[in-house]
Amino acid sequence: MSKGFLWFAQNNDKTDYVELSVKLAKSIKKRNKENKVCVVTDENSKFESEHVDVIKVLDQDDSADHDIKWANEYKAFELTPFTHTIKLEADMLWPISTDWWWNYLWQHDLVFSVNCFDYRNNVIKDTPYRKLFKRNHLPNIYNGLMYFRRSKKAQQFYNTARDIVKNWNDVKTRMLINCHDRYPSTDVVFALAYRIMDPNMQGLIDYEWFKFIHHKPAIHGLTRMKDHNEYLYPNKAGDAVYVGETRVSRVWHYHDKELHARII
Amino acid sequence: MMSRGVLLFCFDTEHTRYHRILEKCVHLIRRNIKLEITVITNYATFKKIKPLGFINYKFIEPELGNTKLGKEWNNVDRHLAYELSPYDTTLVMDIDYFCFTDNLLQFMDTEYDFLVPDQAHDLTDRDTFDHRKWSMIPMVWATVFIFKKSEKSRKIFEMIKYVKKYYRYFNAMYRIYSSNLRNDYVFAIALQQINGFAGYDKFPFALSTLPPDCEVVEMTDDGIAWKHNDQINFIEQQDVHVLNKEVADV
Repeated sequence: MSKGFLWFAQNNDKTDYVELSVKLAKSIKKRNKENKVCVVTDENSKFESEHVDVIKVLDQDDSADHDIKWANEYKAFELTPFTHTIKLEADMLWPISTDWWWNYLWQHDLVFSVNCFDYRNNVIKDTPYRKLFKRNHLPNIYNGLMYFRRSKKAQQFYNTARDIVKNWNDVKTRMLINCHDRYPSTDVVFALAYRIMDPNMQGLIDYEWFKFIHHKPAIHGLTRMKDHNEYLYPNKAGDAVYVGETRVSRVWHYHDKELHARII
Repeated sequence: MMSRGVLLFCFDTEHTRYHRILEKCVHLIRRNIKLEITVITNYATFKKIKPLGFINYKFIEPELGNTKLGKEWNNVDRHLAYELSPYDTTLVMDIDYFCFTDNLLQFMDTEYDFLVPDQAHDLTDRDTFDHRKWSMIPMVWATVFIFKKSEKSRKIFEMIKYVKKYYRYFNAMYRIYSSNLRNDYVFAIALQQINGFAGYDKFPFALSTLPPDCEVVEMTDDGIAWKHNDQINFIEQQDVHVLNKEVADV
């Protein structure tokens, strides 16, 4: 009954996701007893690190000619070496111990982070980034923090996600309203896959603690700022990261890759 | 049996007869909260208070020097609540918070050591209590709070005293717009600092508040009526924080 964390790291012209991955892996290992890490990468981004236990290289890169590397994420189920997997994104930081989460998560087949936190730990349900979700009645879930166990239900979910990705052009024009994403955005794909499986969303589990802090300006209510980082001034003191007046005490999706270079 | 009670602070000033507000507040506490009451006051104010039945009075001389809108504002003794309270669990209230319900009673028997509200609801529906732009820290409303005599509470009050002592520094650090000492910020800073900058326990409701430009025209045992922009409105069966001090004369 192995447990671990998995995410994808495929570098593109702008971002070195491998470097972000190593830092995320370090932060997980520093504070968690259950700390096995698997990173899925491609031939071009192949790497080795003492902080990453398993590195899987994609046989076939479905996003090879994509600017944004989303199209492989449906493979998480087949690639994970773990029975119980928490799937993340590379541009995150893990400043806390979450070992206790497993006791809740492994009772289910699929758990998503529903909604997210702002830096002051308020749950944010409605954001301008999620108009497409609202328009299409999709659950407000984030693939940046989700759990799945090796189970038929999870397999069915990932198979549905695979079908959506493989038929993205048809899906975005014929199934979704007002979707103009050129590439299959993982959040949209997973939300649609879940909606297809559970149309009334009766089985959607929403743990109040299973969410991350999403470091986007509108999540923090700072859309009037030219640069919300100039206002919140994220900084590191010792081991702790501070955003505004608050210490980051939850999983942090910093999103802005420049921050990683500056403070993490 | 753990003792429970209400602690009130009341000091008349040159401009406001706070003892008149106290009398209304005590009446409603007796009617709805039904807990023992202790009033912290000075002798000058005490002499003016009409007989209110059984009340514990404790005399202190208020710390002077703080002002609000240029007028004397004796509000800086709240940090002494821990020492001054004779109760194991204490409900501390501003005297301009009127309890038209017994809602606060349910928070006297929780496992929390210290509870304070961080949201206010503008009863005139103008959303005038969004304080985000006035500081870098989310403000709490020290208008109402509940604490237990515990180690955690004691440390919180120690921190409150520390913040009060160095308030000019904290005021600048958190970029608080107003420079006078305001308990709401002192408490917010202390709670945030002592809890490791990562949140603290709060009441699960917003304080229903009447802004200062609302003139209270009538108060009954069940509710309050006010005038704003030549319109009269009223609310019943709802605790209300009244910011217009003319309520003393209603």
